Amino acid sequence: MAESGWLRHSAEIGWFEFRRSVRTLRANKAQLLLQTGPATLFPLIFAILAIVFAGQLRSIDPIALPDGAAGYVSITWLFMVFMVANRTVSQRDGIESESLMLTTVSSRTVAVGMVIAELLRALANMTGLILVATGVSALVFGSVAGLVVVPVAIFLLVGSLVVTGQAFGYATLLSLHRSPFLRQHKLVIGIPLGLLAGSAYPLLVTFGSAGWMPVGFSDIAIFPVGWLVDLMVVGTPLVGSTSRMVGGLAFSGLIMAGGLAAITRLTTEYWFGEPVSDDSDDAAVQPTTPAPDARSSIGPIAIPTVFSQPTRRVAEWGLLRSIREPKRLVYLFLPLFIGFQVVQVGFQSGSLEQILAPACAVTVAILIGEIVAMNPLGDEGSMLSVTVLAISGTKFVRGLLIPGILYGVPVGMLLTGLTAVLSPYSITTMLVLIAVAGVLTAISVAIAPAIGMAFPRYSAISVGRSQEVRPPRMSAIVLHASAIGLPGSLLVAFVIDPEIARTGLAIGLGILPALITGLLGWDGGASWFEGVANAINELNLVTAGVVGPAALIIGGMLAALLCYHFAIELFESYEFN
Amino acid sequence: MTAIETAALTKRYGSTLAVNELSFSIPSGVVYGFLGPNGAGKTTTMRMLTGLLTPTSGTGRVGGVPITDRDGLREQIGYLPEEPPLYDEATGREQLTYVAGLRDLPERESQDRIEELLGVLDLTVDADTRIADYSKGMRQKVAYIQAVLHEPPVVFLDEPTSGLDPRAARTLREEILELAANGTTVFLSTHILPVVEEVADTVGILYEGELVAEDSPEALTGVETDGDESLEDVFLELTDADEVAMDG
Repeated sequence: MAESGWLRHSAEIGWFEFRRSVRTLRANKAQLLLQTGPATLFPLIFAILAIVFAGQLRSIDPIALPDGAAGYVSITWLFMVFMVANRTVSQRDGIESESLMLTTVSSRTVAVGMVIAELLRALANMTGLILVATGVSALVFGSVAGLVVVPVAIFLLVGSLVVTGQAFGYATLLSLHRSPFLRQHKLVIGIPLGLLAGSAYPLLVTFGSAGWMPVGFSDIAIFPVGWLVDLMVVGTPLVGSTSRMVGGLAFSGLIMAGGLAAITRLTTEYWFGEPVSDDSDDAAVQPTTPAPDARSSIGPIAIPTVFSQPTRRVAEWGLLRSIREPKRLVYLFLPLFIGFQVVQVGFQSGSLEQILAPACAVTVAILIGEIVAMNPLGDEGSMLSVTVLAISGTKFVRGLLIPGILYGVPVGMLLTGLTAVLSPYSITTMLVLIAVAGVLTAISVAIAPAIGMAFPRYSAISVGRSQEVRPPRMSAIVLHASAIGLPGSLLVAFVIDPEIARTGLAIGLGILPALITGLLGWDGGASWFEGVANAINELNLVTAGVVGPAALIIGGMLAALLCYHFAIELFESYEFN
Repeated sequence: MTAIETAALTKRYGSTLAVNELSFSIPSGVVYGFLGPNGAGKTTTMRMLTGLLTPTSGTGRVGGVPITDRDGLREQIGYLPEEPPLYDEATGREQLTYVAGLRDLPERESQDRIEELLGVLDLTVDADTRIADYSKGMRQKVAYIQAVLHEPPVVFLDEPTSGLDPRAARTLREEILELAANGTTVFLSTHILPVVEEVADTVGILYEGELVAEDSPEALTGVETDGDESLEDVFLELTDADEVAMDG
């Protein structure tokens, strides 16, 4: 039973939690930039395009809204539901200071407060989009209705997906709470399901529009949430269906009401219920089987005894931690996403076969480098004092590098080889690409500990109930991904087409700086950079094709060596202030 | 033989003086109770002595090794910080095997010693349970075992009995006495004064970064001179800001 004034309390909780999120975000400048950058940049680009092409937009004759639009909105909605559910399971399964809150207000108040907080976070990310879409509807098309219908439609879309996502998230948590079987096999069941759900959206968006998938956007348009797009376009030349508009409104309203009721019930049972014991009668009479030690737990991924015992232990533990707590690897989503975007661009430009292998070489190198050692000091947690006192920096850093060098390099080469087979390149180019993948992966692995130690994260974040992990800082991930991604892309470009690489180099080192210095009014600088661009463009292609990759590889190896020694130095000189 | 010695050991954080010219000498095989109110500089001193923090000035040696030589100190010391340093994802046995490996202890001998210590501290049954599921007392016991696993000549214990139930606390106190009886020097920092009274041979009281008293518990409490003060009375007297100012 909720207390009187519970809705006001929920609103206060939601606002308080939202403000806490904003403050946390402001404290992490790199994450702030990554989150607010795209949320500002893309609406800004849309706004500029709308202003530039305002005349042409106004002259468009009314046309019927295609089915695909509702389908696209629906599939995006479903993907976002998955994301919110995933966040609920992994990060936001309960409120901070839960014991205080649940003894102060009702669980319904807390649950609805958390929905409000998540809704505010989502809407804050979409503020730019809401403003631009409303502005275009009202100012470009002169639709007064747009001032109301666009924010209302977006609010209903976001509200319904947040409520649905949280309901699914709590239902998953409650199932894990109640079923020993699910809890025992959560990784075996959860990882494939998560991968399937997570990849369905990008696959549909990329290949569905081209008719490569059995299901297209038009087929998904029967899902009523997508019909809110009919409401959103009121007053524009796109003409939606009134019945679908009403259907979308009613359906999203129903989802929100039903979802809130479900969340209230699920959270009450989850927060106050005791998890079912894993002990069965059979287990009680059986002798206790000792848990396998670290070496047997990592199974076939053994570390050869040629390495010293302390080094092996660090390597084994790094692997074991990733296997036992795969949630902590969620940060790999960023490089994976960027790699996928490159493949998507390749597909849309009709050059998928050419781009797949080089993209794989660079992306896999980044991913493997970031698995074990992106936050080595923070990963140690409270154990850091023991580790620092127990092992030398050289043995510790070597232990961090071994899994990546020993197993990551062959995996990177193998995956690049498999994708290269699909490419139109010659055997020689394929072999060079495979070799480059190996070198890039080795460099990526070697530079990761130094970057991770220079930008450590010591404060844990909660992932799941009572489970705290310390993912790397976003700045470390971005720096590492850029340090491998930018020169790595140039390197593979030199391998597959030196002319493209030369042009890219001329743009990066000459034309872009010339443009910037020109805009800043420094004419001397601009002309100097233009000279650089011209000089690069005049380079002999054969020379560029040999000197460019050689310089990049030698530079990368030197950087790897320096980073290795720097990481040892950072570990040895670590102090507990 | 001297196990720990410092000369004018000082640590300054900007304008804040955390430890001021600390000088003491602790012989081998004794339990040294290191007392002080919150913020007195106890943890800073322990971190300097274990090589985890570089002193601003002054010198120190532990087991004859300069405290700035972290490589040399590794074999000389065991350290149990206030927060038990453990991996939640590991089981108790895995944790100890891992630390034994980091210290490059011979596998067979280290396994025997782990089993022996698990037995002594009543942890054998739970050794294969994840540390995340351990009680505070069990965590403290595992952390204690890993601090003494390699049989270091000097052990630094920061609040080792804090949060333990009476039985576990007694077990740990007995272990500390056993260590000292076998020649290990124990540097014990705690707020639980009865523990110090029971196990310490010498007590040092730190106040605002300075050692304001150092003697045996009996001498400090006046037992030897028929005085009737408790260690708590002495501690409160010596660390009372007003009284210290008047005496000064």
